[in-house]
Amino acid sequence: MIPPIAPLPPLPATPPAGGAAAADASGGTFSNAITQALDSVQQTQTTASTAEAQAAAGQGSVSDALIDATDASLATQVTVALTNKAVTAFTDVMNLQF
Amino acid sequence: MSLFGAFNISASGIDAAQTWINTTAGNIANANDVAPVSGKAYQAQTPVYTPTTSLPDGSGDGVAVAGIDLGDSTGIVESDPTSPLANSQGLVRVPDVSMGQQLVNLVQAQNDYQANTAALERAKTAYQAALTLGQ
Repeated sequence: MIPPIAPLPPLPATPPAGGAAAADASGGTFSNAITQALDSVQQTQTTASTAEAQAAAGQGSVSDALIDATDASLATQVTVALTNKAVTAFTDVMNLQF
Repeated sequence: MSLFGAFNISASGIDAAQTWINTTAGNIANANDVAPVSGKAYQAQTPVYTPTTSLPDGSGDGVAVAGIDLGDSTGIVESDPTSPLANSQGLVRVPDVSMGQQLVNLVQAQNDYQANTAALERAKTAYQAALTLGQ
């Protein structure tokens, strides 16, 4: 006996033009970018903390801990530098004189 | 590869050099081991390195210790009648570990370690130079 074929699922509703779709197409906001960058920095610092704790406990290597710490330090410096540049650009726009 | 790829590469090199130092220290510590003639002498340990290529384009991203090569277990049979491990003829088996060779290996391992550290330091300076762009 051949089983009956299940009906096709209904098509998803097409999103309206503009609105939310336009916001997505713009590629995310400044706050989103900053939040993601800070999350990434936080992760490198967590990694460094874990490596340092392991090295102090004698379970990891000291070199790995120091390298992870350097990694976290540089990642923080990069994020701060980029954020400062973006804020500078924003301030420049705010100071436009007509 | 992370944002600072050279760090991970140098870290793998430092770990590899650390392994070499450790095996060399073990060889030196066991250079005076004594075994009965019926047993096996201490086997000198040498790490075997292999490149790691996990990147899609096949370029290297570090080094890994593939394994530890064990030396000859025959050793040298010498006469030591006072040893508690000596057989009826007064013979024992001692490891064939050259102290000179091990000390040279130690110097090489130390240079290896320091070279990787220097590479990491230069990479860090270069990355920090990029941060000063536009200032």
